[in-house]
Amino acid sequence: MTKNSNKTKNVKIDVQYLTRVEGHGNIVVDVKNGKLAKCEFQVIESPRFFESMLVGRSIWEAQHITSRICGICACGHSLASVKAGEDALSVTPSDQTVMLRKLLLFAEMMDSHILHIYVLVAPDLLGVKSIFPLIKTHQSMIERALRMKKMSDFAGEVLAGRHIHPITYVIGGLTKLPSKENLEKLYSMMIESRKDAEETVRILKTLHFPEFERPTQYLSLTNDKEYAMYEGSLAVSGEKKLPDKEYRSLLSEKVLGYSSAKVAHINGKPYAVGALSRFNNNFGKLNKKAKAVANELGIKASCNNPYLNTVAQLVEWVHCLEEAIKIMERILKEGLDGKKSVVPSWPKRNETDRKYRSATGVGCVEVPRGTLFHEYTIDESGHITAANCVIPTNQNMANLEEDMRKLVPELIMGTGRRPPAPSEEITLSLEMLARAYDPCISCATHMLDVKFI
Amino acid sequence: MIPASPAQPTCLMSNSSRKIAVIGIGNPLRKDDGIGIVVLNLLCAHYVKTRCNASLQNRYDYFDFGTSSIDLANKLSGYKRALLVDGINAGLKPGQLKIFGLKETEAQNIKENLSSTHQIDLGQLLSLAKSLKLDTDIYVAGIQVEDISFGTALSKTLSDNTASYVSQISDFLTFL
Repeated sequence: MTKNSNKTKNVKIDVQYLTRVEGHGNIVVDVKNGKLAKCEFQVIESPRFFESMLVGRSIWEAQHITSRICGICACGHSLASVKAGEDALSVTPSDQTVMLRKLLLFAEMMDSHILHIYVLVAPDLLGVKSIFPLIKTHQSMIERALRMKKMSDFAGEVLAGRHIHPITYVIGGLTKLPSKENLEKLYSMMIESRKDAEETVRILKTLHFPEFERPTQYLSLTNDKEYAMYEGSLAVSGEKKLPDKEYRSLLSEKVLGYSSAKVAHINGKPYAVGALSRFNNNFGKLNKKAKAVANELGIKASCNNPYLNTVAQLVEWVHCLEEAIKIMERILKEGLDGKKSVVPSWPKRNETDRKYRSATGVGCVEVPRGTLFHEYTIDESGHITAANCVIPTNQNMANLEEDMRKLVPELIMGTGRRPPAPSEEITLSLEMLARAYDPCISCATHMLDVKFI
Repeated sequence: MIPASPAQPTCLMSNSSRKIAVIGIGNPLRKDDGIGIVVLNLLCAHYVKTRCNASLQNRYDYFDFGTSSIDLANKLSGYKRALLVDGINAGLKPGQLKIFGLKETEAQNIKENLSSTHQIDLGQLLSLAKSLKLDTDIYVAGIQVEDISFGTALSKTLSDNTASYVSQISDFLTFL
């Protein structure tokens, strides 16, 4: 619900259950006499409950539990969990296993990004409420979106044993290697997807994203060898670097009264994670095709318009496809060696007397929405005694609110180039801003319920 | 601006398989919300144990779709018939199983009265299937949830009835 009085400059916005985001979130804005009294993005559900579910469970079980946290970033949660488990148990995976993990991350990144671009953001840019009207008016575009999604869904099936909630990626390796037949089919689907990517770039180029600028701190993994997604050091706006295991010394988390999710700060200030942060920090490591796409779409590092996170996602989609194709070509040429990767999901029976030591492990990967941390402490029996999951959406919350605090007065008062916006435009701009961050609040229902009070 | 491309009177997706897709939906970390996954796993085990007839066994493909959403449309497009096993909140008696065709429910205003507990509710799925001109016959084995708070165990009401769900659903599948 929105109330807007031009004379007194009083505005109230109460968006209950923001749509086209994963999970439940509200936007509440209250402007009194032209001053911003309240500006909140309220998360109604919290992943903290999942952390308590891990306590008391075997470290070998953690991946199977955490892969269920999310229907969108399931692979990322699995890999962060597996890395944390390996860190706690001092297990080092083979190079082949790491290569397969990177391939899975690329697939998930493509899967999530294309869903966000076509299903969650495109309706805003085309002036409709959801994907459904577009099925009638833009049939070929929706067909393309589903085709691109099908490729990455199939990648999950082939690589991780299930197109969602992976089961084969475990501590130390994989329980089963993908078959050559399926890999060949996946490879040809990837090659075919190049045409769809080109068309998606052409389409995105024609769409107009809102103009807004607010420089902030950008956090992501960074790596001298590659565009970091699976491993690297932590970088803030391309400068401060420290090992991912030391994340607690960099960022601080706290719980706000009006929201059930934690928020995070660096140096006492909000920061952003996700595609735009990775793009800003690691632009130089993008492959040639992705850089060409960035150039064609007119996005440059460092970009301070959060609405262009969607554009950065498409640049990353192209990067991931080309990197995935390179890995696939290597696999199809050289084959996969089971001895280097295949392990049981749990220790074998003859290892039941395996000795554990009390330890803490951290796993960090880049997932579609940003940098994800899992940290587990285990006891001498290999059971988890403490768990901490730092979710990208939580990290972005304070930054989103800071964006809203700058954007709302600009919309109400107008800027040199833009007249004061009517209530409906303010609401839509805020909804689009929140959606630009691609928030993944939890695995819950989607609802459309915008109320004006 | 993207030029509109009006829908053609054809099916957007082809479904060539003669098999039946049996798809479990839900989140096992939210108690009864995971009933679809629990029943799917029991159904698989049930068929392995009790069905000696290989041709009958081969009629079905099983999928754990967890908390997936729009991906379901892509999967359904490959099948003539599909059964979704899902927790529902339909105002039924907790634990009650209701098997119905998704098309049939249109007249019952399912958007308000029957909603799946996941990212895409049954009403949205129906809308999507219709918009995509999907000609898959979609059936739902919906089980009224009692408790979908965070936790890995089903409520006692649903847990006590899992054998009955498997029996009823496998009977339905036999005649599908």
